[in-house]
Amino acid sequence: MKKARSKTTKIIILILLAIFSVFTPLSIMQNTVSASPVVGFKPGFIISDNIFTNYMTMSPGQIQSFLLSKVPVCDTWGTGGSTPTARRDYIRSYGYDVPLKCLIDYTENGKSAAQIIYDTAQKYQINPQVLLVLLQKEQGLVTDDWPGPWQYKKATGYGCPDTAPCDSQYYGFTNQLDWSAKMFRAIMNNSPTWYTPYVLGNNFIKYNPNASCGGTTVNIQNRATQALYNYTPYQPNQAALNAGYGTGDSCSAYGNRNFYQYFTDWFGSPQFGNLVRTVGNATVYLVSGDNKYPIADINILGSLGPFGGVSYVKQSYLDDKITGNVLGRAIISGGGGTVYYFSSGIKLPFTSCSQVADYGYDCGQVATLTGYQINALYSGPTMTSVLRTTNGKRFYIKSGEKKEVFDDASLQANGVPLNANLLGEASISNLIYGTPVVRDNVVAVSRNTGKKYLTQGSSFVNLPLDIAKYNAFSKLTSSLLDDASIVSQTVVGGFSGFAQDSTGNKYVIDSQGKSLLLTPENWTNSFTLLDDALLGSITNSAQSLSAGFIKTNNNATLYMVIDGKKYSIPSWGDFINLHLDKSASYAVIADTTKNSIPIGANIYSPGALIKTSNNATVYVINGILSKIALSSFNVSKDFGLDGVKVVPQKDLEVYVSGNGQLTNFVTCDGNDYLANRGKIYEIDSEAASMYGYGNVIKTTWDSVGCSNLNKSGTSLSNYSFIKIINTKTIYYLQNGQKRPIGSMEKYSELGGSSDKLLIVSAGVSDTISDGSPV
Amino acid sequence: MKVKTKKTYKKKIIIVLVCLLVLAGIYGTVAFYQDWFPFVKDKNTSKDVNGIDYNLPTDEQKQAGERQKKSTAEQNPDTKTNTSQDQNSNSGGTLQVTITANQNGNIVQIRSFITKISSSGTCNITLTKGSSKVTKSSGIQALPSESTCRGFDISTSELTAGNWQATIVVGIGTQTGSATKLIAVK
Repeated sequence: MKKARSKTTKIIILILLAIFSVFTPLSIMQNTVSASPVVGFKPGFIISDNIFTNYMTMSPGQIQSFLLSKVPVCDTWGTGGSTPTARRDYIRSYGYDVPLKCLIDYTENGKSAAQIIYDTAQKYQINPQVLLVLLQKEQGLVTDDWPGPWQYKKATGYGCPDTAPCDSQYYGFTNQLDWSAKMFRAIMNNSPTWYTPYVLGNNFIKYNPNASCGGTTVNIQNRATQALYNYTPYQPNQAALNAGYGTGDSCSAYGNRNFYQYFTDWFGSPQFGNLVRTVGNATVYLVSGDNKYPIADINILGSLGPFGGVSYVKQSYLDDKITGNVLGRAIISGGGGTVYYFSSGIKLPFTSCSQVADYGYDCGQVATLTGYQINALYSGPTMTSVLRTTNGKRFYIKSGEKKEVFDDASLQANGVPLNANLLGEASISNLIYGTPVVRDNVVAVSRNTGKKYLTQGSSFVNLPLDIAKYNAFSKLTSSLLDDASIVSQTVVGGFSGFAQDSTGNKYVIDSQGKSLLLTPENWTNSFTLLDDALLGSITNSAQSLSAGFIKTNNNATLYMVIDGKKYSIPSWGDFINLHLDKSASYAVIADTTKNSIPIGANIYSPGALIKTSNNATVYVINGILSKIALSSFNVSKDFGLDGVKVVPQKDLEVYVSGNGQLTNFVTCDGNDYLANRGKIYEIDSEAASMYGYGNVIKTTWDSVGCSNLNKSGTSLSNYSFIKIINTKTIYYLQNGQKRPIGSMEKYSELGGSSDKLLIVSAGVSDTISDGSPV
Repeated sequence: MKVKTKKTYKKKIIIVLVCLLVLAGIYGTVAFYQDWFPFVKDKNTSKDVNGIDYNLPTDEQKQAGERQKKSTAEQNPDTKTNTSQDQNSNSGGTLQVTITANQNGNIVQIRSFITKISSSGTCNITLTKGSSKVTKSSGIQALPSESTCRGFDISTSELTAGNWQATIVVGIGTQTGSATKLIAVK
């Protein structure tokens, strides 16, 4: 039995050891709170003045809810300790007894603790959250579910030396809060009757009441921090900071550390709260000291990210502040000195007040911020005159204007250094656009519309897109500019491809280059003056425009340009016959260039017969833009012309009518001709005498018109005999008369032969006077 | 034979139980560090639109409060039997005084802290350097946890550069105290 019991005991011990081995480490781990070091504690700036004095952060109800959230159940009878009586015994050991009252249930003079906290906050305009944290860091009252009565008596630790009992005149929950808040307010007001040993600036702050623990010089940056040091005259040493809420070393002090920790965890960062608004008004203000600066630009608000979020305050809080100018992006520390520009949470020092002015601000009018606020912004590089934006633009900032920069060469041409800071474009939204920094003979492209502009001195020449594609311009450097930059320049419109240089030479720019216009007035009166160097750089086009024939790539219609108008040519035959050389040459130009030339009407080749549908008169086109009425189709037949075209009235009206009607006599290039049966024969002086054509009425045709007539290679004087077609009588021409020859023998006798015999139309025969038979 | 069979059965059970416990221990250790069941942390934080934390306090927060509570616990005066010194007592004794000094530009700031809360009394400071001597006096300002002399900001026009010995003598009622510190004036 002894042996068996021994074995059973061993087994039980083994199991117990196993259980112990498992749960002991766990229980140790559970009870070991791994300390998170304090983050962001700054001994010179524990809490911002704005947060410290924002007395409207919580209503009594909110305070009550907050207290309830921290102690949902109060251990009134002290039974919740390690043993059912441990807490009660602890309380009794100090001469008190249960029941205990938690802060949420505590009342004094009929007022709840929440109401007392709220009332005190309102009375002294101190943030009730500050008072809540004060109650916690001094006595743990906010989280304590079994507070001892002494904790209320010296709830805020006011009047309690570190090394001696408290002064009883300060006892009492309401009294404690009142003294604390009164002191805070006195220091915030810099009251002359409340001496504080701490100054704004450098102070020697100890780590611990024990002087041997030492301390450091702390630059106290605001009154709220100054007030906290009046309350707790020690700063946490590194061991205290490393311990989070825990204990550091023998030289640690925890008051200000715990204030910062509790405030941060329960109410957010105590260091900010510079941005405020009321519930009823959306205007956000940057509060700095006694001043408030309205923020009108959402981008500026966005640039104050390091200042934290926007807090809600009562109107009366704002009313107590002096309203400054609308907040721009230039700021200065209250102590004077450097003026900064801020953007995206970064501050960039200006180099001079003149540079401040360039950015649209006035050194004397910039918002004054506290040193801490200035320090809260990240430090950036020195401000530069040139600024690159995160969306790829570049501006030269001068005299309150932002001048968009075309390229490095443009900056260099203007003597501006290339170095630039990179910021969001919104950071210069206050500046108006100035004339861009751009050099000559480059192409600026509008970011907004895609339109292109040729830079010429102080002007931008609007380049139509089809012309901009031409090598003359596409080879030029191009860059994007905002429309606002472009319209700040003089924009020259109407460039249609016709250009002139400073000496008056006029050109058409086409796809191949430039073509010098010998008769520019024939094309347009609107030539855009372009830089000589630019025009010089454009190669000469191989296209010839001298004949005036044009077309575009996008349309098959051919045009002839005459006297500043373009006339469409309805058929290929007309097109060829409008050419003096009967070639098919034409030049391809831009649509814009073509469209800039006013439209005329259809143009037909000289020699064509035209009429309108509502008039019987037929005209012969006897020149590029001239016509003459046809007397009879016999005449046109003698000219070799046929096929009447019915044309619109407007086409007809294009042609200037010559006097009279078309006869068989025509003058071409100074020579007179007779039209006979499809050919024209030159009437030389001998023929004039023989045929009696000395004073006949002739119509003059232009060279193109004449080129369309079939000229005989033989002059009329070679023909001394005529015979009317389809008749047998041969006539001998002598002294302006036609004399019938009676016999073939006579004909032979007169020297007649087939090469001297001209077969004529009846009409031509009628033009010769009859003579006596031979 | 019966007894032998019983023994073998028991051993097996014990081995299995021990193995299970070891495995549970391994899981427990891993679970603790990985926040697995049953150590899942409540990540559901409750903050209102103003950023006020309405969650239960953390253990760290409670423990820090508890430490503060216990460090300030004091006897109920109604039941107090001993005769400890009361702060309001003006009976004679020595006041503990400490001095700190800091120079801000041309102002030498000399501060004294007295381990008694009082807004009455006097402070006298004497600064000596060789044969040079500067004396000042001030009243006393009560602070929440101590008192301070209402001074002393002394211009460097009164204190030439060098080491000055500062002695502050404080008198509150019948209590007195003093401190001495060597101050380097630049």
